[in-house]
Amino acid sequence: MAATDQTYRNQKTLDIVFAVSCILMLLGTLWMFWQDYDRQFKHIQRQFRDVEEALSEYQMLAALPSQEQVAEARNKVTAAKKEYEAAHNKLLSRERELMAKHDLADFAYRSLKADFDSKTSLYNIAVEHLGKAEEPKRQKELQEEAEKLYKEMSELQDRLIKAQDELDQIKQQINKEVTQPLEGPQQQFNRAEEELKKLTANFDRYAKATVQKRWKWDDIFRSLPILDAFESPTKIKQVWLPELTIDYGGFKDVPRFDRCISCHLGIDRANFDHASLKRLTLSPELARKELEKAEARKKELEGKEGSEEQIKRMEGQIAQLKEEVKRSEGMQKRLDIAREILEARKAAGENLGFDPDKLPTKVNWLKLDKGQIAMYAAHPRLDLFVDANSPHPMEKFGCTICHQGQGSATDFVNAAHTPADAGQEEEWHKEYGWAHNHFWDFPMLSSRFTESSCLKCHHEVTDLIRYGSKTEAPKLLRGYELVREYGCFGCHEIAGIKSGREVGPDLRLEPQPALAYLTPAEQDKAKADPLNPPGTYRKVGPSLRRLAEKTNQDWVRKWIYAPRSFRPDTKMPHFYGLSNNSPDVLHQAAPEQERFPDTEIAGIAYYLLAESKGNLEGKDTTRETLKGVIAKRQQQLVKGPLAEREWKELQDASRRLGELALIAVPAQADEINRLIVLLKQAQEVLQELHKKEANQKDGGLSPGEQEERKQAAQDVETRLKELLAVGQITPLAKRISDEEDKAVELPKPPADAEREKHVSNGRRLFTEKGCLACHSHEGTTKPGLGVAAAPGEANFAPNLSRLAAKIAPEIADEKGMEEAKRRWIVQWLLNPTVYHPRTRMPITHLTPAEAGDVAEWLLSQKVTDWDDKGPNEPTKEDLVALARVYLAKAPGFTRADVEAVLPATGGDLPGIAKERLENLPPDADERKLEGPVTEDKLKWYIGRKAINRLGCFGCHDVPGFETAKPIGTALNDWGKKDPERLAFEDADIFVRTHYHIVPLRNDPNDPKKPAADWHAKDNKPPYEKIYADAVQEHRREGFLHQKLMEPRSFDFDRKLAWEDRLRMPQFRFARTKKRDGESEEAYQARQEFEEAEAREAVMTFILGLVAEPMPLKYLNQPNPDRLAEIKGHQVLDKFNCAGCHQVRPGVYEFKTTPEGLKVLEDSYNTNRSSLKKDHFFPGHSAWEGVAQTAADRLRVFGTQPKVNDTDFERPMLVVRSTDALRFAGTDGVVRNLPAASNVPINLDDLIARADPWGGTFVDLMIQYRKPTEPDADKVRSVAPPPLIREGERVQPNWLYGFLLNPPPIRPTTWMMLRMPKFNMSPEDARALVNYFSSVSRLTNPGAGVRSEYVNVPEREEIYWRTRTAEYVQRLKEQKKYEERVQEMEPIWQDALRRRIAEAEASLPAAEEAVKQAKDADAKKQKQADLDVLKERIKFWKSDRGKEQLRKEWEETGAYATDAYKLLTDRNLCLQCHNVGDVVIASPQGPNLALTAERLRPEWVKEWIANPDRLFGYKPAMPQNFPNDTLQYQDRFVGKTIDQVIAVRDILMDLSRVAAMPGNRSRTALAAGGSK
Amino acid sequence: MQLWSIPTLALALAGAFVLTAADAVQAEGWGTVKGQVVWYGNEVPKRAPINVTKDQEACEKNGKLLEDKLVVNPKNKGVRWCLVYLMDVSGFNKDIPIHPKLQTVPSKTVELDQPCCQFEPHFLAMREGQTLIVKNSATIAHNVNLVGGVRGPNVNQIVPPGGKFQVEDIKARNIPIMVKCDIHPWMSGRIAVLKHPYFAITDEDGHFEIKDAPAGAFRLVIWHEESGWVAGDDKPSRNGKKITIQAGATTDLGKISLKPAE
Repeated sequence: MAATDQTYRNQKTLDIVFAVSCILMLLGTLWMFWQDYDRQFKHIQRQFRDVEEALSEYQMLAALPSQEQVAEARNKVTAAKKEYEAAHNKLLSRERELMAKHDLADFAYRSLKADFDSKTSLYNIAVEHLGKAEEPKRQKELQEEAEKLYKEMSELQDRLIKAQDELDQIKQQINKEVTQPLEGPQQQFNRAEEELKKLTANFDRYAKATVQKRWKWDDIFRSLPILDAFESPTKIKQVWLPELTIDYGGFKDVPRFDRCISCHLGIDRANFDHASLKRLTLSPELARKELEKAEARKKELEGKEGSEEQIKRMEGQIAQLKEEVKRSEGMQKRLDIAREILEARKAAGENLGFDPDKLPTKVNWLKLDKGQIAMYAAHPRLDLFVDANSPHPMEKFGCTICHQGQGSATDFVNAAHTPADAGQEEEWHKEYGWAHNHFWDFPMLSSRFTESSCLKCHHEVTDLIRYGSKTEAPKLLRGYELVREYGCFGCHEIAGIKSGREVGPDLRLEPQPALAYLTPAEQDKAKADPLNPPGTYRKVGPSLRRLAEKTNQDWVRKWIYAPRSFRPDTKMPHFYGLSNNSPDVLHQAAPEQERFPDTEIAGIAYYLLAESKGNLEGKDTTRETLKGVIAKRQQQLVKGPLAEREWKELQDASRRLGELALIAVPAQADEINRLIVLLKQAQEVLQELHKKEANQKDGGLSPGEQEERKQAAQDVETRLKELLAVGQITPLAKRISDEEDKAVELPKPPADAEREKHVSNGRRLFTEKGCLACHSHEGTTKPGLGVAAAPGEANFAPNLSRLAAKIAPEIADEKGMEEAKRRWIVQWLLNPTVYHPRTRMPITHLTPAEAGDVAEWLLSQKVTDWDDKGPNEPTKEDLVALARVYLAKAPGFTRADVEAVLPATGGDLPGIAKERLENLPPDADERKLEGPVTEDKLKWYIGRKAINRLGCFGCHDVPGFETAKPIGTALNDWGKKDPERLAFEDADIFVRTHYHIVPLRNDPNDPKKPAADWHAKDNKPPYEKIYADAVQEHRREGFLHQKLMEPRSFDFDRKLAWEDRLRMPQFRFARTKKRDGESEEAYQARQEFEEAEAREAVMTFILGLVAEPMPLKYLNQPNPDRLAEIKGHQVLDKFNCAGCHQVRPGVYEFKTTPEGLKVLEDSYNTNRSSLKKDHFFPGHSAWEGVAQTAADRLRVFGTQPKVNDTDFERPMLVVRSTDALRFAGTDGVVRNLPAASNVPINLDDLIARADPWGGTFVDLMIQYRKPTEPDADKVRSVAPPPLIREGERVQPNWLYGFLLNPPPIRPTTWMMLRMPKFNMSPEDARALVNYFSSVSRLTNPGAGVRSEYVNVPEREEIYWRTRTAEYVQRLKEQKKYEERVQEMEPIWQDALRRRIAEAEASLPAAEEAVKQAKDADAKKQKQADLDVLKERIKFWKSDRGKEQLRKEWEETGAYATDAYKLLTDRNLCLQCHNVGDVVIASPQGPNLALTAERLRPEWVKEWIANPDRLFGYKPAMPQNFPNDTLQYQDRFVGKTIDQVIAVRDILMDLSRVAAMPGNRSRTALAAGGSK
Repeated sequence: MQLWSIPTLALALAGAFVLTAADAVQAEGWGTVKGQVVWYGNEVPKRAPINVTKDQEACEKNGKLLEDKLVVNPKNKGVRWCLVYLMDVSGFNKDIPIHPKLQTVPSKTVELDQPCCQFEPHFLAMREGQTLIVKNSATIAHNVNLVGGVRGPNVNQIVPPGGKFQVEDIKARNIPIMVKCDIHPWMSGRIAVLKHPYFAITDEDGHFEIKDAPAGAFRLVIWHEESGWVAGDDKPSRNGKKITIQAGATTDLGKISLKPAE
């Protein structure tokens, strides 16, 4: 184309295009500006200003003083001012006059002072020059000048002093004539002004805030577009957390920015509570409307059955609403008054600091919806979070570290909020267009799971319990307890350690055999690895090693088939009849597998029983295999050295055999460990010597070595035999043994005539001896057999209601069977560790006869209500079919092999050929299939394979699976597992087709109850919509929820081979029990509801396992005492100590109101009679309360919480305090309400309540004994004692020994039961001892528990000398000294007589010895001895003898001798206690000889002084030495507290004191007198 | 000051009421109430002998000890040791008019003794303002454990032979104080404390009589240690039974049957 000057494009078009694009760009830019300007948080912050204004306004009006009061105060101010002015006026002329004088004098003084100063400096200069001048002439001149100046200066000084005097005088005059007379009026004026200020201070403050918070013109201006970039009133607020980084997946360690506070603006302001915010919206119209609605709802409810409770609640609501209506109606008027007051004050010229005209003229009712209120509200637990003084201040922790979500987002949707339920979800969707944010991996935890986050830093979990009983994260703690109880860690690893750092709770199984059974060296080795310390959790199920002695195959099959049908509240989960293996599912999906479940169950049952029997005979498969391997290799070894592989095989097999022995018979651990070492040594000797021989070219071994080898060859054989013998279980049929492992005779069955008596006694023992602290039994819930009802609900251990149907070993003849049943139960009761070495069941200390009676009763409780349907008996074809499935998977087996071994066509089963067998490893399961194959062999094979697949050994000790590894997915960081990696499959279809989907689970009006539509429909159980959605949307919690609910439903609609089906069993956590009079439907609904809650608790725990390593300073690192408390709590839980003992008091926090304080004061006054008798111990928590942490509330620790509606105007919660409560009464006087007081708390004032921890069994016994013993304290005195203050009470070494092997303390004749002996390790015992000491230090620093060890000064010579000196002094002062000496006279004489008689009796022998002496030297020696003896007799006979005794008494004896009189007074301690050998008719308390080793001296003193204050209940022990009465002066001279201390002192050193001269006879006297 | 200014809240309110009401509320005359508490069944329970496990010599010096909680006269089925008192219709804490001659508390002290390992009297009733003296005239020691609950006193003190102690300022309450000796576990007694003089303990025939009571509608409350509340409008309750006292006459309530709670 030719060149032209025409442009390529038409210029005009281009212009247009340019113009259009300019405009578009401008629009785009504007749009961009607008978008940036119109951000959500800005609107929110703008609205928040209104909320702040309204709230200030509300508070201003709430603080509105009455007009009259203000007027009065104002008048007072004016009057005072007037008075002042009047007085001032009177003095005005005089004041002026004096002031004028003052000014003149002041002027004169000042000018003189100036002159003087100038002269002084001139003089100084002159003197300085004089010093420097060298010429004499100049010196003279200067000297003169200086002298002149000095003279002038002195003159000036005199005048100055005079002027000053004058001035002072005038000042004094002013003071006297003007200032002083005005002082009174001035003060009055000040006071009046203060009064006024007090009256109006709050009001003024809020009024000012109201004005300030109003949105004003400058706010509008500053928030205009573009301008808002500078000093906008709305801006993003954020917390920057450089250490709490976020892992964005790959971009590690990105600092965290939490901008949540851009919208949650009131989060840290205590006064922004929900109720206050709600009130801001309640205009009179709205309040009236709500009231009408509430009234209508109440009417609706009336007449409906079972709605009384709801009506009551409605009534409360209505009353409240009525109040609100009244309040809101009065608001406008109050505002008008407020304005009036302020205007008047402004008019009066007061400087208010703001302009009252700017106050709103009309009450502005805000329009806030539920969501907005939630957004602006303060954090509900400012005491724990957000607040700067709380343990988790916002500045340090931010928000998202706990809540998750996208902290950097500034709008609702992007922040990844998560709704709590379907209702909220829908609301949000409508309101904010909210949808789940798939692009953010860690959306906010819904409020259901907020507690999960606590696990990030609180790895011990029990550190979330405060004050021993207050659970701060109840749901998480429940989840933790359930995980512990149900043993999730048996299959799933929960390790808590990630690359050497602690990242979560550690719940791992203990090694097998348990550490305690290993040698100390092995134990140390196991503990040496800090990155992988041994686990500590025992398997949660019983050992199955001796199953054949307990039950039979038939029962085992029925049990495995459906454990909950036998025991509805068992923790054993269901493995069969589930969504992937129930008969109907299989029938449809895989008909060829339809009979597999029954076949498999039969196989498992067969395997367990067969192996258990084998075990009892020493012939179980593992043992046989190991024995075979060892024998074979040892035979080889005797002949020559083993090859490397063979040697390893021998070593491995020997080790495993040893471990097997330790697992089976740990009671023989020492012997087994010894033999293991000896066997290993012998094997090594052989191997070494063989090797040496082979290496030596000539000669061979020395004769000695040959001998050694010969010996070793013998040794390996005998040691193996011995090891097998020691590791061999002794069957019960041969021997039952007691707690010390001594053989015991099985009590004979009672004769028929006697039977009922024994059965009844058995039931009584079962009830009273503590079984019900852990177990429950239907049979005890109703009275019968002459025993009262004891409806225990403990579920720490199995419910034993149907035990009689379970204890049934396989024994042919019926009589033998009966005996075998009793045998098992008696052995279990006498020493359960024989059957199950790792059981937590303690040794009960029942006698064999008592155990026999308990067995008699348990077996007499026939089971009639069990639908004992079990699986079908498999046919041979079934067995073959299933065995083929497993065989096909066996290593090295092809289809053809399977066909050859187990032909599908039926007929004879050739089995595995001999040659093939040889090539299989020695422990291959397939070895069992050696031909000809029987049905039993097939069952064994199937059973073993099934157990392996299902992981039964995660909970049970299963013979043959000693080394098996857990089968489940590790849960270490499941809480942040990528949902992409979860196989949801078609679970959502399953959920939709199998459940009745319900929007809400909890009743919105009462969240503790199920919602109205929460029930099964068309046989479909209820399912919460939020979880159905979560499954559909493939969210973590959806998967977890469904996995726990129906674990195998993810197989739904899948064609799967048998062995590929999901294996997780189905647990049920809630253990709901049907209530009396509850309908079946209501029960079902409640069951589903409680199950859902429990499941959610487990989920809360698992979702918290995120394994995020936190910076060290964020981890909860308690101080040593607190850590001991936390760890001890876990051990207390492990052995269910709280089942019997009350371990910690309850915690009650309440607001202090004038009424409440008044009632407390009354309580203080009712205590006066006991206070007078009390000895006060300052600093001790029982007498002196701690300062409360918050000014507006009190915290009380106490037991026996009870609502009392008889002694007060309105019902009060009354607790018996365990710690003194310090409070300031309405009169401002600070009082100490000591422990053991009844503290009444107004129910409305209660802020937090946590009831005492523990003592369930005692409470049950109180109920049980009630018909015969209505006095609960008497029952408490024979039941397990409370352990409150245990740390300050007992000596740690004593407690340690006691825990490991508890002897009886209080008389067994008096007590209902005895402390059992727990299957506890020394570590556990130590943890408990530390727990109690530490709790004492934490809760009562004044008790003097300072270290882990106890110092008992009362056992030291110097202590006694000091005390005695004091006492003798007192005797002399009280003129009792001579009296005492006279009293002692006969005792001394008696002692002298005895000494002389003893000496004289030995005289002849000494004389004889002199005669018999062989040589001179010996004679001399003997003669000297004789002389000494004679000298001694002479001394005792002379006056000096008596004098010596008197001296001894005066120096070390007088105090103890007199104190001993108190102890042995028949009317004091000896009323209830034995003292050493002095025994009384029916003792109630411990023998006092135990005191010295058992109790801490300080506690003994406080206890004797006033027992009531130190116990969890009112003890029977009386006050022997009340403070207000002087008694027993004839026995011990001193004040009552001296008597207390004296008794304590001798108790702490009793054996020595009792042996003192005078005391021996007194002991005899007391012993004689008390009989 | 403390002593007077801080009685329990309830009492303070009631007290305030009295101060103003004492003049305002006047009884319309005075009358007597009497009646008899009898065992409900035909079979009269026997007093079981007490198993004295210690100090037999001192305890049984006057004969064997018999159960003293439930004492029913076999002759007329009268139940001894029942506390009977009047109460205002609106509740226990309201005061009722007191006859002028009964206004002052007659004797400053009441005594409780334990000569033979049982409390004597077994059931003591006293007026607020009286002082309780606990004696021990036996030759052995007893401890006296007063279980006074929220209204006190809660004292547990050993009393040597011949010893005694006193408790002042015991507040009125509707359920009597329990007193026990833990050394001799069978020993138990009761102490009722009331604000007015209109109370009685039934005698061995189950009779009670309350004299100079204000006329008008009141509630008669009866309580027995083992059975709890005895009288009631339809069933026994702590509010007792509604009665009307005739002025200048004796209101005989006849037989009131006692049936132990199950």
